[in-house]
Amino acid sequence: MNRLPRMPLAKVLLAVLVAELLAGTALVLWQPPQPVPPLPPVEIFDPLTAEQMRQMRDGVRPRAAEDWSELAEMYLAHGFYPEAEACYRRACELSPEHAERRGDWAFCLSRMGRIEEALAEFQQAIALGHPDAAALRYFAGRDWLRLEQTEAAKRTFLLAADLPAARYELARLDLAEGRGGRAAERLERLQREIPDCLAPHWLRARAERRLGNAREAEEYERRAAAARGRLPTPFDERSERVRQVYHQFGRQGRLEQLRQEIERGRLAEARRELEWLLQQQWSAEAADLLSDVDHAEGRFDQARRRLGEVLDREGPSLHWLWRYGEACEAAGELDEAGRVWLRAVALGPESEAQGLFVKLSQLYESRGDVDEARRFKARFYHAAGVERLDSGQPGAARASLEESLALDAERAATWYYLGQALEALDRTADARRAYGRCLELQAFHGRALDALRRIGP
Amino acid sequence: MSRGYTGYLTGILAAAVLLVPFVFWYLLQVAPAAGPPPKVEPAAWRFAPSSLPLQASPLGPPPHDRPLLTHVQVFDLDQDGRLDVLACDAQRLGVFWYRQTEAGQWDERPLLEPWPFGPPAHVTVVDLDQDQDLDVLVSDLGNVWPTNARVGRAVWLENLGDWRFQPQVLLDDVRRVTDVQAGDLDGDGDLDLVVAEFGFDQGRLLWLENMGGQAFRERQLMAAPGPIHVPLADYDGDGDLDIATVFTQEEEEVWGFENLGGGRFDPRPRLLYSTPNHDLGGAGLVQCDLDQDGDPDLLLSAGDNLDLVYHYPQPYHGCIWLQNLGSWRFQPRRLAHFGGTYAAAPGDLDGDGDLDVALVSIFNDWARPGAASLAWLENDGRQHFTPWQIADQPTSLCTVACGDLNGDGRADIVAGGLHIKEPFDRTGRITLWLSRHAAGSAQAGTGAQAGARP
Repeated sequence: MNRLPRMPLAKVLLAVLVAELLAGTALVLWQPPQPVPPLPPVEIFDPLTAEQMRQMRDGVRPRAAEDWSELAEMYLAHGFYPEAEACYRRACELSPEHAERRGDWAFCLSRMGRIEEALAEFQQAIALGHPDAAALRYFAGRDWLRLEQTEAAKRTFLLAADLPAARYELARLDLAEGRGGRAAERLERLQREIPDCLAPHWLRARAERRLGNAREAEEYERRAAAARGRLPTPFDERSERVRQVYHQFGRQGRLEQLRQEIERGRLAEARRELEWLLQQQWSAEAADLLSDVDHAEGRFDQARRRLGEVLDREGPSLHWLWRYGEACEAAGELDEAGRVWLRAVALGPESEAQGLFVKLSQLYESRGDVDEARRFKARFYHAAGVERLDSGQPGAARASLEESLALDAERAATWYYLGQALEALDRTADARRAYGRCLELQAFHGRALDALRRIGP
Repeated sequence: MSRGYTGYLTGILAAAVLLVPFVFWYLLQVAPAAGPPPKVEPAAWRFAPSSLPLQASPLGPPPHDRPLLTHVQVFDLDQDGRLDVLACDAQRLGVFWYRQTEAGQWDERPLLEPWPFGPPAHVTVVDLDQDQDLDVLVSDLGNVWPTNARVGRAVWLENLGDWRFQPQVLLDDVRRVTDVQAGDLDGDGDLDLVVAEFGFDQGRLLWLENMGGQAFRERQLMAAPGPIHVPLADYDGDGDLDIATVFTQEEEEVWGFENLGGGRFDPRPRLLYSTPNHDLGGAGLVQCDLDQDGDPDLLLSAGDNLDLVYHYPQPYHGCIWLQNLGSWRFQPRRLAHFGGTYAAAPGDLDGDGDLDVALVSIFNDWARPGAASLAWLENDGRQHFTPWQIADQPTSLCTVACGDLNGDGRADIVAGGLHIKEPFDRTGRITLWLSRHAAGSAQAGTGAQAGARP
């Protein structure tokens, strides 16, 4: 009697279990086949990257939206846009309510030039509550512009008007439609908010020129020339994300890890792997890192030969000539180092060659060539001064440029930049003298002539 | 005991009932995918094959790793009656002269060895010092990669005769320079220069007044980033040289600068073409009289979308003809849609007396076989153009020029590759497509449908 109430429970459970097993088996057996992720022609990449791509693709769980999404991002970072789009689409099929994935899909469609589809998906992602709706609206606005639909673009940018980049686009549209005054108003606000940003000053100059205000236009052109910042746009963050994926994956990622291993002194492992990578496929980055290992292990001649090969295959540039010269220096071949460094500094830019000017100055000093040593030291101070001027430090720039002129007073460009620094410091009379000295050395220096015209006699 | 057993059994059954759904859920999750992949829709640009009898062959040494050709130009530099090829090479670093010694024979000579400047972007052949030989003006880009650094120069390679050239820097301390053109802009009899200071975020259009003694006075015509080319011509038909240029960084605009004479330019330049599509990707501007009506037109190529790590061809890329209607009015007309179009060159490729156009693509979808790298637009004589595919390799072509290199009365094609990113399996440095015309065999086109975006 006591067992009776228990048996039905067991029977019920058994029945449920059987039903579950049957239903589950049916589900497993008769479920529609899940799509495999697409595999692009990965063999266009080096073997390591290609293999990691295959592994990542094989590791995708067919129903895991996040796996499809990650694969999509990796494909996008490596230029396989059609496959990336297919994977984003699948991720959105698996998680139709996921706003961010839909936003990623829309971005991919946009980059592929499938603009109408991108616009629909941006809209959908916003409707699903995407956390960065303003960024999506900015992308959508740009896409409307790509379709030359300016009214739709304007409406879309207005919805993202918290973003400076969207307001900049609105100003640009105003100007294109002949509303210079309205554009100037919008830009005024942007110029206040992000004063070191070049684009608003530049567009303001155009607006003022359109309004017939030549003097104001010149002033904003001057500000644009002095500004260094770029207008922040939502594209920056997207682009950076893609770049990171690219640099952390496959061969690129492994080279970065090896760079850190070399810094930590794990040379033997790094050498083994770099040699293997170079056997797989030669690349300048791998050869360069291996030359670092050579150098750290005291194999200077080998480092020099290796960098010589890089120079031969990649072609001369400031960077590679500098590196090759350093390897020559370490191998005791100072004449060769000096020869390639001289060529390197001609390839510029001077701002990036400052260290090399110092090396050349020291090299000539050690040879007793005081004049050449002084000339390169002057070039170092010149480059440092221009760099400081460009980064908005006219006081420091002036000091460097004056150092340069104390060593070599015959360089017209240095006098010109000194004039610029002095002008920025409101020392107009001194600036005038500096420009004048520049013109004594180079009578037709156009920018100095223009500066003198601007500040008056 | 039996009660205990029953209880134990019930417990197991209950646990199984709870666990089994999870097991099946897990099995569903990890079950290998067996279905076809989701549809992949590449957008590689292909066209119907051309029937022009062109034969491809490399010019100069075979590609060395990743060639970076920035410009090719067809010109009879030594004035021996045979066209030569000049090439700017940012990898081997220098300007190379491919001198045609006799039909089909080419002799490579670097104009300077070693090259003492940065990567050259463009060459212009002109007798700058008017001493009756041809000199070369080089636009020194300074850096192939985007930078605001002052790495650019305008360099004059003076022809000393006997294949020797003497370099002289005419302008330096400027940002990346992409084009230098010469012409007598102030009517004083000597040649002045126009310089495209492309830069990156900052750039300028300059004209350099020749002050004599190889001294030039720099004057700014417009401050805007991204001027690429500065073709000079008498655009308004008033007898002096005007300037046209395309700005491509912040805006996508073609401007005309009217020469008022005496070294003065109209302070209100003419906007000849613009689009609200700031992603158009203007890549070059070529002056030619496409409709042969006696006034200079412009060809704008668009296909430069250097944005993410890799680039994808866009539906609005291609070639736009700016037809000169007179009085500074230019009518834009789309000649072709072609993803990644980086350069255009006019030439009578089919020998029917009108001007066709050769186009090269740098950013087609190279992962797809058959994606076009070189196409030509056949002109039916009334400026209706039909695209035909000439080649799908080498890939990543950045520069193209046309000229009758083999003297058969038809334009041949020369193109250069700029291989920045993968794939590197179909690289090419300089490639010639020489017409192998035999009477009656070279009918342009086949009547097949022109290809379009698949």
